[in-house]
Amino acid sequence: MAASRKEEMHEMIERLDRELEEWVESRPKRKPDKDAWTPDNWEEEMKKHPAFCSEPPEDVDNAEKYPAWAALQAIKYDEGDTPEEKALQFKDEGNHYFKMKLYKKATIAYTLGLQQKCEKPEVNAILLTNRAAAHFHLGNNRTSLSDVTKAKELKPDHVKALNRGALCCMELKQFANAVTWCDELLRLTPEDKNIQQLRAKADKLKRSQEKDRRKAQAQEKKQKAQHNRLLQAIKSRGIQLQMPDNADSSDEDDVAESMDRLQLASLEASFPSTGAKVYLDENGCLVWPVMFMYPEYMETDFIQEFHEESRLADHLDAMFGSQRAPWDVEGKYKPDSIEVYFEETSKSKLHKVTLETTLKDILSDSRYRVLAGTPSFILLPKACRFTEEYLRKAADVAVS
Amino acid sequence: MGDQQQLEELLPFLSPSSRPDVRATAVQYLLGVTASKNSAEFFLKNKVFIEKILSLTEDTQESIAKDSYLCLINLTGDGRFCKVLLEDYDPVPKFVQTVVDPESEFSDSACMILSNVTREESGAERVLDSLVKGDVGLAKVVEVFCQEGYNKKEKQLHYIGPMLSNLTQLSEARQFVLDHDRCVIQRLLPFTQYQGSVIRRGGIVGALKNCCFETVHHEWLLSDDVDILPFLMLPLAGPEEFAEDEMEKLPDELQYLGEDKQREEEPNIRQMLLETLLQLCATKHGRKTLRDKHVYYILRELDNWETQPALKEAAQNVIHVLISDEPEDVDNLNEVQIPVGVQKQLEQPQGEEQQ
Repeated sequence: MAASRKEEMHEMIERLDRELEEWVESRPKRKPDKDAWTPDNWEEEMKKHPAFCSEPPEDVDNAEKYPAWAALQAIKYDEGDTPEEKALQFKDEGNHYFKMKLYKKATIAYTLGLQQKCEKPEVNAILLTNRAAAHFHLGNNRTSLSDVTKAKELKPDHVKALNRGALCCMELKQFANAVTWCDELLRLTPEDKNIQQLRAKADKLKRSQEKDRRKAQAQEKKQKAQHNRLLQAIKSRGIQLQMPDNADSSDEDDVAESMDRLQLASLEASFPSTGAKVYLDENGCLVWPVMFMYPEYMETDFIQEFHEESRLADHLDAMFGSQRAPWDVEGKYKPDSIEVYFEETSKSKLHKVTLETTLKDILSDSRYRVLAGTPSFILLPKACRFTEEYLRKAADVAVS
Repeated sequence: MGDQQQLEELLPFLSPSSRPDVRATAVQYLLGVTASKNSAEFFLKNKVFIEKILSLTEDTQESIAKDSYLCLINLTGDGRFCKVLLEDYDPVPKFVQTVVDPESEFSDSACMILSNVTREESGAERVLDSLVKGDVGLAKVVEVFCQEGYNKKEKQLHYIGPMLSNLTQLSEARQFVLDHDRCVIQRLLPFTQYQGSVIRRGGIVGALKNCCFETVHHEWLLSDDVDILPFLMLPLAGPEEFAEDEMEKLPDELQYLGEDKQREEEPNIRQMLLETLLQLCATKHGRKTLRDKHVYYILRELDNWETQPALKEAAQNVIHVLISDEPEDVDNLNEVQIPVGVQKQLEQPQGEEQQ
């Protein structure tokens, strides 16, 4: 009995298998699927398949090329959906990315949502506000502010937009605007402590910012006045300034202004390491940085503060009176054995200076030009072969 | 003033059914009457005219409505008229609505009327009561006042300032302005510097002065939450340059003001500002704060500049308090024997002066 049941079963299975095969055979033969993956192309196809790829292809909207994508999109975004439904779906997608802190992706989703041109201003206001939040987290404060500004126009009582607007303004240091956004918030939630505190903070910062601005203005003005006084003092003494050759100004739009600029620039000492620069002292006297040059030894001395009422002799006494310069191997440089010359640059001509003259008088000489903000002098030892030679050579090149 | 009979003949022309051009002429005539002295007396005796004017503020002809408002502005200059108007006609809700209607042509006129009728305490009480019970509320009025360009017809609403000043005669209004849970006074403060309107400026300074009678709030007013001092000092500061060491000690707002800084030009407002500062000297904490913020430097320069004796004295009063030694164990100077000159300024809050 048991055996016959088993046989019966066996028979039935075989019959069913046979019938299935017959049925399959009876079906019209299918041509090989042109889209089917083959051992040759499966790798490439798999990359394109939405289930496996890491990035959507550029032209993802091409349904014929990417049927799988089109199919998936159709599931999520039904062509029959209204713009509002689509916009809300993109909003959900954006929110999803936002929660995962994928802010860049979130902004794209919200943008797609806005592109649906939903007719409800509230929906667009929410999309804009959410996109603003994502941009805010990306540090794009300006874009964020522009989004919430638009959102506010669509829905003036959208608290989240107003909140974000205030925060953006704080980040952008637009404190006066931050106060305005807070005021709008307080109109809706007058007793919100956080907003009140934010407003107080913004207001305080606004006022301190305004102070800084005033301070900078005042300082600039003061500096300008100082420069003008200095230039005035120089001009009134008939002192002529000359720019260093390399700082040639070609701008001739405004002659007077460029003259002033030129003169200011020409006062910048060419020795930035010392920082020495001509200035007016409290008695209205000029104090110059001055350069002494010793061609015999190719040496120089730089005097940071040479008061214009001082004489050359005063400085020579101080420098050479009691001690010998280390390079002065022959001991020729003494206060009473030094001759001082200046060069008339336009003619390359040397002029001897009396040691008893003050710096002021020398600089006022019509032949003198202050080069690069630093008067300079050539110092030679008296009655010496080098000096004779040097003066002769100088006379040769001089333009008469 | 036109004679009684002549005016009574005008009545039929003031009804809405009359010909518009005739009605306009009649209202114009009435406006001329309200501009003359003691005209309120006539209207109080002939109340039918008050009714007519009130209903004509709703006239479909804009010029007629405008002239009717002007009549009311003129008439509310009279205290007795205000009383009758408020008691018999309860026009406040309508005017308040007009003030906060962003599309209204008559917002400014309504503001002026409300500012007029609140001058006396009883009027202020009525208006405040109406605001508290009505659906607009004082908060909305303040908000409308603070929002630039609120009225789409370019009405400036400056007269809300004096109205607030008048309302703060009342403790209840002061409590609202001084509500620590709301941001009210903070939003009014910037208007002490409002260059666009002396009315607005004066109104706000008046309101601040009234609020500073609430000694219990001084600590809060002087704290960072409100920071009232710079807003009171700034209008009193001039173009004088301070030495660096002095300037650094002043509040940020007072630093580097520049040579084009103008002092408050209206003596009454300067007076109120000084009275407010004096009021803030009432407590030990207040005096300490005023000293810490170096109000003295500003007042010293003001005193040098000021030419009006009464104001010079007011400035010196504050200076005197600030540079005196602290008396032992006295916290509230209001409880101390004070010179008569100072006493005068410590009196109770007041409404706007008659305008």
